[in-house]
Amino acid sequence: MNNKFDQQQSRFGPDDDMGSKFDPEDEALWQLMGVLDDVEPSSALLTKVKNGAGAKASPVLPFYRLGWVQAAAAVLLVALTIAFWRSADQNRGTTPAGNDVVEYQGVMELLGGLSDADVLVLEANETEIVQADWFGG
Amino acid sequence: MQDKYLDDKDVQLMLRVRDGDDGAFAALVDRHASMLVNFMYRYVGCRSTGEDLAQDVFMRVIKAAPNYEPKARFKTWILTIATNICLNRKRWEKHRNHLSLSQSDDDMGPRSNNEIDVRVEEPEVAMEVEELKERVREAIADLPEKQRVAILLRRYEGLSYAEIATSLELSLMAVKSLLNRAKDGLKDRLSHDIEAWYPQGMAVDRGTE
Repeated sequence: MNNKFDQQQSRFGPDDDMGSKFDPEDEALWQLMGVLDDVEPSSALLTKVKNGAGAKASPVLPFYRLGWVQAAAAVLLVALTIAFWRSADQNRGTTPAGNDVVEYQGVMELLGGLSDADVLVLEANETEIVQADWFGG
Repeated sequence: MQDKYLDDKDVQLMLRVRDGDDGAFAALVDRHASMLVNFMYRYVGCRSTGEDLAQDVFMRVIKAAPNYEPKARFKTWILTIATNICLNRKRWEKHRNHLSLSQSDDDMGPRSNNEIDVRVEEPEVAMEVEELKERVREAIADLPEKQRVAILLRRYEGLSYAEIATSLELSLMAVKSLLNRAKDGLKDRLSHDIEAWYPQGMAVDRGTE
């Protein structure tokens, strides 16, 4: 059953770059390992990989492709946008008892806390507060 | 930059990739996809996983491109990336243990570029060859991972000992030791096949002992 495979040049023979002694058993093993065929990469892989290279120039960049400086700048921009939006859409006031109140987007945020003397009257529909009044005792 | 590698056509292409040339990258993919897929396939024992890992290699090439400096042959460099991916993917070891005859060539799609001309005119011989392939795959898969990588780089990719040492970050002597252990492991597992297919190799070897 031998000699099913054509002989091929040994990569482990006398021309070995470590000067190894020629070993027929190594040679036989080497040739036996040659039984494994090469596979061809799928066209899907080639397309995907090449498109992946093109994507690096795409305006819609995956976040992980951004450098740290760009990523930090993006986070800062988002934070500034939120801060501006909050400041532009809020109402500030002071309760008669002297507590600061901020209201934005229908949410009351008590900056100092109400005293026992404060009375809040909230007028609200199902989704938001439409009127807030404070009365001091 | 090391000028001695500038004659390497792949290095030239990679330098163009560094400068933003997508066409050069596509050329590198065409030139090396097959080699990488085969390397990964033989390492993990599963073709689709091999393709996924080969894709990872190319993604890392893109990522590394802006800082690329030719310090080795391109093939050595890209196989070093592949080696690192292999050695960092221990989870594939579990998958490997589930490999069976069901993943024979039949479900792996068409083959080409046979490295060795296998004469399979007779059905019995064809079946024997398929079974032999599976045993060789399993024997490789059973090797410890560094031995496996070293033997794949040496046997199938033709890297020199020095290049393997670079890829595995080992000394030359360590690589030689690694390869010797890998060969001994394979010869233990495949002794029956070596004797059956290459009896002259065994006979000569025994005669010289």
